[in-house]
Amino acid sequence: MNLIVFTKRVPATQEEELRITGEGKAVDLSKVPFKVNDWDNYSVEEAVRIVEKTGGAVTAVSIGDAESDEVLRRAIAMGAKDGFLIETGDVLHDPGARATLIQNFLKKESVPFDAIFTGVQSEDDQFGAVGGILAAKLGLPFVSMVISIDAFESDHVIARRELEGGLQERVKVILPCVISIQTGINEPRYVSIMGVRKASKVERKVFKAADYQENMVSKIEAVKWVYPPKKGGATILSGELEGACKELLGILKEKGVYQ
Amino acid sequence: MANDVWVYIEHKDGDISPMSYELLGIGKTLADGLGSSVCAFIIGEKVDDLAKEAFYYGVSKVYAIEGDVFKGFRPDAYAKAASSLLSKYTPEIALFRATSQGTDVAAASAAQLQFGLCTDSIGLAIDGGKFKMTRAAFGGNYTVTVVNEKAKPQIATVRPKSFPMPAKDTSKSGEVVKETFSIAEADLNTKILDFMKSEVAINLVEADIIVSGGRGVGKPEGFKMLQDLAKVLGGALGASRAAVDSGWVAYEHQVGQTGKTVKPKIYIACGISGAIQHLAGMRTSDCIVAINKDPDAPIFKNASYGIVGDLNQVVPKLIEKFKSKLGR
Repeated sequence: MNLIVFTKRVPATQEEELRITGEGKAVDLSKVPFKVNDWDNYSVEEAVRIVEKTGGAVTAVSIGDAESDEVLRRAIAMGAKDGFLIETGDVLHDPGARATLIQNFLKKESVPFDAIFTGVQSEDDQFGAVGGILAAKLGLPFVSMVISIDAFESDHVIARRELEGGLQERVKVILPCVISIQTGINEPRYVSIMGVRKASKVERKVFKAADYQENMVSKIEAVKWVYPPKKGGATILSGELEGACKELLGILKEKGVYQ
Repeated sequence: MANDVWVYIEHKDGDISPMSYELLGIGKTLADGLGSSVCAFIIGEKVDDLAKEAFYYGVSKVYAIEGDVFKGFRPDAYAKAASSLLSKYTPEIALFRATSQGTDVAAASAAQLQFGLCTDSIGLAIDGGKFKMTRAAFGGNYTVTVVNEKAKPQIATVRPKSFPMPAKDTSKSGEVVKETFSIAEADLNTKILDFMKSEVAINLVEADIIVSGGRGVGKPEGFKMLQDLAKVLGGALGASRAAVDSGWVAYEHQVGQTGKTVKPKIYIACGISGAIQHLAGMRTSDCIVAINKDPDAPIFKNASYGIVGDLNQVVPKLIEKFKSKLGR
């Protein structure tokens, strides 16, 4: 199996470090530490596990600035064979534009694949839509919110999806397809500093995002960023255990928890 | 009408998902702001009974596509049908729930028709004639208002429980406009094999009361105690990532940026320090009650009420008191 897995370098958010700039038009991320997107970590792990069973190769792809090489090295340390960076200095928020860039890239570079793995969402933008848009653009079936891949055969996948209300669905999907991976699907392997150092000896390919811009339009435009609301803090129910619990019961009664 | 607001109706086993009604409510507000109407659109095996329900919640027109191939939700089939309706009628706005189904259909429609897509909105408004969507980013700690006016319809998915439910009026009725759209079974690449309830049949997202535990719970037995409290209150059991990673409670209970986003009326956080990744999943709960030994725990900054104390003493006391009050 040839699997493409997308991995993104995202800010490790500590809210006091994020500054809104340009009269609310943008967020300054220059002083924030970065990390691999949590969902993508599970996604890389899942792809590597499949290839370990079926043979073939995992290609990790990242869109971002040169620093994103870090998440590619990490993916290679986990077992990916190749790392491709689609380099852009611009932060590309719009999920439709990201999907178009990917579509153009896959076509122009004729990257072969049996399945494309994405994380359900990225921690920073939280759109959760790139996988779905990409699948539709490529005319491929899309399996979202996957919490288990029960079988990965030569022509199909059997996967379990997480629906709302504690419900799960098992589906059979014909390959090639796009799969979005939910956190908790596996336990991603530990990546040591040594492992990453070794991975950095594997050559990563760098492509310029500017070469794949055909029909790429950002339709979503941010007009106003707002800081998280500052809360006043809790009213502490003090005193003896008995008294505090009694007071809490009174409050919850008022909130309609019981009559 | 070209400037109408359309609401995608989700349904399963012949019933509309209640949260779709919430969308009809906010859809009506937006339509009033535009001087237009709110309409529903439904894809399904049979739609007449579903349409009737939608009328009760203030819609006077339902656009529908029905057929055997739409038995059970499949993203490729539903999205193509939805796209055909949206491209034929080009409403001003189309709203979907920010659920797996809503997002799947919205994303595929946006791709097929080159629309912009704003997912997981928590605020929607018509402001100076413009449709503005507010959504969370960076773990839900920041919000950003966006516009999406380069193409129509402007598509947004909406996080459940972001808006009030509209009133039901069973005297209302309306018109069903049925369009035909056929897709051959052979052209679909997805087959639903079966459904199952997750091992712990929980419904965290729709629970009114959640009792949740974190690192401070300290052991798996502690979660049995929290489960007891949740049971007495008729609520669901939640957990922080720290507790799940420690193996004390199943992943399905996890609340936070990774895990479920919840918005119950009451969220009781026991032994949860209040890392922003956890807050991202529950900070919009109506009332947060924190129980923690550490008076400096960040959770107290975000809670409405707090008890500084050992949860192993507080929780049993609460169980005892609620049991006697509720007779359970």
